[in-house]
Amino acid sequence: MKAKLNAVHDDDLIALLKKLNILEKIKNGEVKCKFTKEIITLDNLHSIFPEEGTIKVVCDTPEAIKSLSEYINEKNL
Amino acid sequence: MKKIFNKVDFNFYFDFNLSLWTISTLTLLGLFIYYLRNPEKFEKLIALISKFLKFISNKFDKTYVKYDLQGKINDYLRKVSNRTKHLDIKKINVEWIDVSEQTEKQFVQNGELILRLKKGDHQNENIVKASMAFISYAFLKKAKSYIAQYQRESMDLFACYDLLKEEKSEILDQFVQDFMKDKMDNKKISDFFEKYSDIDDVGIFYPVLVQELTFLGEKVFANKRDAQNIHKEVTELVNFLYRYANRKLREDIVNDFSGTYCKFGIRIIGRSIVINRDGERVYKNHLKKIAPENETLYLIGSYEHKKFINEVFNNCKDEIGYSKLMDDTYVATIKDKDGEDLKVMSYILTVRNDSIKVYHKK
Repeated sequence: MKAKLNAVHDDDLIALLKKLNILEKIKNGEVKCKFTKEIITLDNLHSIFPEEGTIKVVCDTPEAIKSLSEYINEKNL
Repeated sequence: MKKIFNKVDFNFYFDFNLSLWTISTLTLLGLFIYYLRNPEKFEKLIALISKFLKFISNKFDKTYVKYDLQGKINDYLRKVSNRTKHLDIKKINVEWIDVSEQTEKQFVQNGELILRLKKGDHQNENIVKASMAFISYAFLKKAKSYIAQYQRESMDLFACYDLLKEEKSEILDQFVQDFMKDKMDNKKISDFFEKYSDIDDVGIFYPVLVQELTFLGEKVFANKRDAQNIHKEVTELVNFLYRYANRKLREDIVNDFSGTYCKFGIRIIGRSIVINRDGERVYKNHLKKIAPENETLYLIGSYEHKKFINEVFNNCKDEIGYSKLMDDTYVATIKDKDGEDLKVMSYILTVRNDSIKVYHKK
């Protein structure tokens, strides 16, 4: 079986965030990491996923990535 | 006379061209077949070409980032799938999101995890993050849904470490620094990690441990199961293989594992003295005595006895009701009689009981 890993390249990141209506919120420092509650910036953004009708964003600290890995395992994302 | 020389020159020129043409064609054909059989190597070639082309145009950065990552992960997957059967995932594809098709509503309703990959200048960081995401998401997916958190985390860490250990030292260092160090403070995780390491040294991490966890995942997937029993059995399985890994040469240890979910036996074939004295007879008799509820047999021996191991099995497979699943040759670090490390070229033949319900169809 072939699995896919969805990804966005830095060249398309701003356009994607604009389409998802979270670019301005990120620029204004209004978005926090789902796991560490750290403020998300264009520099530290690691991943995005939907959950219960909202868009969750994860920062790139090792702590957040480890939590995301465990979350992927538990929730079968 | 002049005419003859001209003719000789002409022939020489013609032959040279023909040879060059033949060599080029054969080389291209050889490369074509090689890349057809090893697509992950072709991905690495594309990554290498794009790495240079990205200095000319920025457009090639995306190609480099994608194929470099894909090539590395698929190279690992190929190595694992050559040593373990029935894996859920055998190949991975990094797919760039089509931004023009994204809307907030659609993403909230049907979206999937999107990983941000930085430009190629940060490729080490990309590799570490994508490897972690891939291993968590895809490696032993079925089994990991039912095993304990510390078993799952230690398995992910070990698999990721194994994936990255062939890469540049900076990549492995970053992984160890960012992800392994903290986790290894957890006694249960570090204990399991060290046991996996010993099991891997004797060459049975993928062909026996991961294989048995794959079978376990197939059995319990979408069936009634007892989580506590599964956690206990996985711990017993790891301890059993750890004891096997630390077995000294010629030392007798328990060779059968009879759990609720994992039922297998390891048989070591054969000592040269026994082969020369008794031939196949002793080993065939041992195989015939295998418990009826056993599901898998791992026949392990020195690579020089590969032919003998296959003959032993082929000459009793109908009687014992087993079929070949896979075989593999590998370098193992075993313990000699004094407990010192000894590197040997080993061979494993995995055979499966014909009467088992088919949990997986190709």
